[in-house]
Amino acid sequence: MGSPPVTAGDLDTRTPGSTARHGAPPDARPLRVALIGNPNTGKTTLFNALTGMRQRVGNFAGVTVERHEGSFRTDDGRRVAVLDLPGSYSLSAGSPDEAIALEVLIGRGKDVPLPDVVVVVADAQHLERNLFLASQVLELGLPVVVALNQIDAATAAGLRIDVPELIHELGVTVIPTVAKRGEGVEALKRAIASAPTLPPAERRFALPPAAEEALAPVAARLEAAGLPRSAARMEALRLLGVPLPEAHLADVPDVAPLLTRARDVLETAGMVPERVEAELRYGWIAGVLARCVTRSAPRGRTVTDRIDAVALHRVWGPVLFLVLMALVFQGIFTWATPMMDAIEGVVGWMGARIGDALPPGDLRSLVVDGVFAGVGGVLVFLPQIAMLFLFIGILEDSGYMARAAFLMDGLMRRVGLHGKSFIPMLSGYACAVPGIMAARTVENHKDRLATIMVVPLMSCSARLPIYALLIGAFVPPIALLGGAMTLQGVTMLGMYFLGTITALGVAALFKRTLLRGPARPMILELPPYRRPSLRNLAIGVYGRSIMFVRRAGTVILALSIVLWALATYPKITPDAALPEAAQQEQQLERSFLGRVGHAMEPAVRPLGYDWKIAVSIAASFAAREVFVSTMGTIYGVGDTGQDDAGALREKLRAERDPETGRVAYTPLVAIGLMVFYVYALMCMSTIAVTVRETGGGRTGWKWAGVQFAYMLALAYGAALLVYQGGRLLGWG
Amino acid sequence: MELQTLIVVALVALALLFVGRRAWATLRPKRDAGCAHDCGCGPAQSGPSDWSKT
Repeated sequence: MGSPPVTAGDLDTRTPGSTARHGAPPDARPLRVALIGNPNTGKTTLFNALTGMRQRVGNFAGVTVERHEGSFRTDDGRRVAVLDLPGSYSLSAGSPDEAIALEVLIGRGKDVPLPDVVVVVADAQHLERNLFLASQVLELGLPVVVALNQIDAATAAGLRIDVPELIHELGVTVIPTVAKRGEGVEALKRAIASAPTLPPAERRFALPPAAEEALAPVAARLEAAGLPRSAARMEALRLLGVPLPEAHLADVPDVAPLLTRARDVLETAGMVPERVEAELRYGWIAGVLARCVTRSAPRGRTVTDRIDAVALHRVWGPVLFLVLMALVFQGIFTWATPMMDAIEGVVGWMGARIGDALPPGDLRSLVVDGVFAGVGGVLVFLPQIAMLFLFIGILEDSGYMARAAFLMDGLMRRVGLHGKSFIPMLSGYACAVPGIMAARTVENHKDRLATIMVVPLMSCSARLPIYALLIGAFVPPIALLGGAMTLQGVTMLGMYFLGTITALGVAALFKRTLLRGPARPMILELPPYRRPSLRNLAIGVYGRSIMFVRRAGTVILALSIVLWALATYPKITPDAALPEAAQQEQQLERSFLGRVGHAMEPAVRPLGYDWKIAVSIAASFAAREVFVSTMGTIYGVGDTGQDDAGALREKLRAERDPETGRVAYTPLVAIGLMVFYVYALMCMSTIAVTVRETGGGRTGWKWAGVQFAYMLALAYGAALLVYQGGRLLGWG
Repeated sequence: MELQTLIVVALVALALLFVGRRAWATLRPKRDAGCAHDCGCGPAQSGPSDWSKT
């Protein structure tokens, strides 16, 4: 049982094309297509399937909502520019993301023109909910195509959707798709190309006479303010359920009294104004579903239900979560090793060859000790970064991430945060910057601020090279749990948990002091489990890996050169009586970097750090990975001819305190240093985005200052506790 | 001055310029949206696109 196949030929049987209101856009510019849909409908997968690698990421003007654009060419060679709008359940703008979608579709986007075609991505399994948004979009008077996605899952669930009947009901082209396998994508492209030649969509149900009469003045005023006629009618109905007209109608202040009058008229007619839109739309949807959808058999326990019985179980759910996380971090260590070894080999070989080719002198030292030791030392962690994003992608694509959010919701509410805050916090595992930006989906201002304050405590991917270096150097790979894990993997997992648990504790503190306010319930949709799309995973991992390489080739390269210069000059005449290694050490100690480090050393001595760690921490304010490259440059590992990270690990283990002659870096120092990095806000970009997201100007800098200060205090205090506490216990 | 030293001075000066510009671009006070460039979260691009109004 399933939906009948719909081909391009079927599409031709639709209402014959007449001249559309928009007409065919001029060929001089590409056809602009906006993609909209509920969250979890596979919209992004479809966007990837349509546009492939031809994508660019930016932001919508004035807000930090991500804007994805891509393109493809039609059969006749015309370019189609696709804009992926933020996922929305309706056009009733509840969050900044939804507001963007609405503004673009009614032609009020700040720097976005009205689309030529709108593609509504609807989940075939949950048509009732998805058709609500579709019904709003249909009323905008734009050419619309509906992509009925995940049609395979609907069929498997026993749903039979009569697509030709659905086309008849909606009055627009409907294309069944399975985006993750690319099925229906070519038909969708053809439908998009022909959509502007078809009659535009329109409202599919009639308003009751009282509502028609009540809303007419509102629609007329909106139309006079510049909205297209059909969009004005949709807006008039939508605004009935909105307490105040939103920001995009700020230049139409007199619409508010008109709305009040319309509500009074509806109340007099025995209606509840706030419910009118929902009742009309869901009434129409019920009729459409009754005519288009049949269920072949009563819904039994699905695979998703069976998995959820364990994944969301009160006891087994958290256990499974812990096991999965443990696997992720163990996998990062175990499975990335062969690739890391290969990169280490290549970097070491290239460093040695280039070193041999250059005559002795400062340029050779710059290339070998600065560039290869610094950049190479960071680049070797690329496989681990790729592995982290592969695992995050699998957890997201499979639908498990939503379960993780569900499991955490109880905990989130106990600390006073909104359940939605968990999504920005999860994003923080990749990078705090998009995590802080994702906090815009949290409607309440205080909840959003509390979320922004704690997102940087989640261990981002830039911390991974630091953890990996220190764990690799100081934590032995002792087998645990019968060999299923090693102490290294457990230590890495521990760092991630430490950040997460602390984030919850700090959020609780904020919510009970500076940002006091009640906890609010969360509505969370749990998508069915799916097999992750290999293509999606590949695009995600590739994008992140390229970013990491680009970062290594720009910021880290430039900083490595600067730090090399600081570590090399001014040149001194070393004591010739000393052995060569001691002469190099003397030169380093008296360099600019050495002097700055020694000036900072008293502040970090209580933590067990020397001047080398002090300057590396200070340099990592530009980007956390710079800690690794700075250590690499200081130790001049390029000269050894060995692989960089491996050599750096050996140098760190062999480092001696020049005064006592004892081992300088112990496992206790390494653990303390990792704890320091779990908590410290050593990231310029995060500070910048916190300033912007908390209001900019003085207010923004105030919140960024609070964030930086509390995190630094936490980092210093925790590292002090680990080191001094450990020493008291005789561990180091 | 030796050629090697000249090249080193030029490279260090370029690197300093790059780091300074990047730091300024990231931290300068501005209210407009967007990731800091190379923040690691994705390539934030600006400038005209197919979806620019002009």
